[in-house]
Amino acid sequence: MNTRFLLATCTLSFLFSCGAKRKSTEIESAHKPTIAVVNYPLAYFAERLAGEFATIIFDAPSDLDPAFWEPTDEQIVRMQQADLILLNGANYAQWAATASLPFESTVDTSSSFEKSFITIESAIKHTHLKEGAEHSHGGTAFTTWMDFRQAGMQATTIATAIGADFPDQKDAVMKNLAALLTDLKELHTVTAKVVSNLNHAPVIASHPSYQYWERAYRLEILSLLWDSEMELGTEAIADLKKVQEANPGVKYFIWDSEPLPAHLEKLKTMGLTCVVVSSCSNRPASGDFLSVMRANIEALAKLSPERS
Amino acid sequence: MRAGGIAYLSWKHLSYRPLRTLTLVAAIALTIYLPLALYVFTSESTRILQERARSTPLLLGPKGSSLDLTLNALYFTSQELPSLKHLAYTKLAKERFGTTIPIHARFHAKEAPIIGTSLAYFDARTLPVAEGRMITRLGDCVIGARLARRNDLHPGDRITSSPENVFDLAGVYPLRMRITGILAANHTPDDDAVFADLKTTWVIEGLAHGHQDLANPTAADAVRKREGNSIQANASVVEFNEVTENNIASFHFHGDPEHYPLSSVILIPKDKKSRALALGAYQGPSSSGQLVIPLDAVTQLTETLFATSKMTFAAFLLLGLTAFALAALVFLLSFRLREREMQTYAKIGARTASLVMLKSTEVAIVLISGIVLALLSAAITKSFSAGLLPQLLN
Repeated sequence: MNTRFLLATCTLSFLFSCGAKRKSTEIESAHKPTIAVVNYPLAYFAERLAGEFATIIFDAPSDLDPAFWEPTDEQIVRMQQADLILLNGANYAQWAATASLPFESTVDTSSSFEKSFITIESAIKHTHLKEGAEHSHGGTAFTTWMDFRQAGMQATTIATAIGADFPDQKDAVMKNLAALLTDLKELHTVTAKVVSNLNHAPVIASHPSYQYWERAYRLEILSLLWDSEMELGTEAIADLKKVQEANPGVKYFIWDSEPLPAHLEKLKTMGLTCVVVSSCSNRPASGDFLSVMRANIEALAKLSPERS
Repeated sequence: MRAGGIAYLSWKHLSYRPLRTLTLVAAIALTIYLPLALYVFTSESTRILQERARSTPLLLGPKGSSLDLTLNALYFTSQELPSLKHLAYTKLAKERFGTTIPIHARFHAKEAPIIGTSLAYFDARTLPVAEGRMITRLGDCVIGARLARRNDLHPGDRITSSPENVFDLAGVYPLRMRITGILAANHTPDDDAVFADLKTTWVIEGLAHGHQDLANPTAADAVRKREGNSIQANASVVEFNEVTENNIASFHFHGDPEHYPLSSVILIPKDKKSRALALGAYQGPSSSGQLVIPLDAVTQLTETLFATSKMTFAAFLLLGLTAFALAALVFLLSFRLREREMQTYAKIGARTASLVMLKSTEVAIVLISGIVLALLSAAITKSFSAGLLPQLLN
């Protein structure tokens, strides 16, 4: 009788403690801070800085350029409830200008270098195969993180904002920032070295998304409005030929994402060597921001005349 | 004579002359009710005013009457002071003294005030959405519980801003707003208001707008001049009076956003030190605005209210004494007229004490009825005073 009573008491206590533990875990996760972001580089920085204690919300679909993504009302409500909302600034994610976001928790990560934003004069509207919406790259160039010094400034702004919002995590965040800044500094140094090996010769880019990269690493980039999966029709080839004629000796063609094999062949016949330099604005299928940027550098290094 | 018999005879006499009895009851009730109602209304108003003022620790606004500024921010009365620049709000927010909430209370949708603000307002006033969801974009609004009930409005319905002046054709552009949610009632002026993003009130003000794409060939008639990438529209350009999924991208702001107008900014300091620093920062004559303590402004108002009510109370007291004297006279005359009736009671065996009891019971019934009626009316007044106050202020 006594043994049965003891067993029953032990079982009940165990079940009760399990229930209590689950409940406390639920409460913990319910109170886990959330940080909403508008593009993958910011998501990566936030994950590096605060991934240990915060949930990063990045809702843009993987097949869209987050710059032209329009979040749904439900997604905006989710963002409103976040402890921190990280905007890229430089006119990136224009929906934010007409959305109701809480002023106090919204951080413009590029405000510290807004005076050095690049303004684009031409504003031709175009569409991509995957993205139905028509858009233009006029106004302010927004791939700010492609200059890794600027990316460092954005990461610092994020760390400062996280530290101000979660003072008990400030030391850990600042430690993570130091590691992130070291990585970004390394990317900057290596990119500058690799690009300088190209002797600053002009290159053609499939898309106008390299303005800050071009400025930071002293390149001359001639941009087209091509998509890696588009059909290279007569008009597109005529545009390319026009650029080649105006800039004799151009040898390299930069794609933002892996092009179709047929495109590589076609451009090879036109005397151009293709290389993928991804701006990594959306979450990559594999790896992370750092590995994608390192892959960019490796691809560029292969172009270097010394190696060829 | 038994107590039951006395009560029966008193009731019979009072109901035999109903008009006289009702007049007496009404006169006594009014005599008690009026000063009581005045007291109830002023004390309830003071409580309500101070309660809302306490939940608004500091208020930044343009220089001028602190009371006008406070009433506009707290009770959405008409904006008497000039506008504050948006720059003042961003500067205050950057100081990180605490939570800063912009208020732009200038426009109306019919009789309901439209309040342009930020999401922090709803947290500060403990105003959750009871039905639907919070605003998410330009052109969205959430409305107060009483306004929704009065006009049978629901999430998904539309509400249109009213022009400030019907003769000002070039003035404020009516904007059809999407109601995304109904707020929970908090028994304050918030229950009668329309809340939108600050940017939405700037659209109503004409500082931002959306229109047909002038680069599109279908809008050729609306183009006045075309120079390179720059297109100048003429007056025939079609402006959108409602923000929709299809046209939201065309909405844009003109001019410098730092100069956009605001009515005031609520500041909820994070601690005593921040409060002191904020007050100090706006004390100098060179400061562009004034930082007021709404509780001080409201206390001044309630003190004036009490001083006026004291005078009225004294007048009511004199009137009350007169009314009671007249009622006493009516009773005395009535008892004199009933002298023979009393003699008859005495002849059939009623004692003098019973006769005094009979007369006292009649007076007591009338008095108690009057007092009960006055107290009931005062209780009703108290329940209505919360809603009456904002109406009187407006």
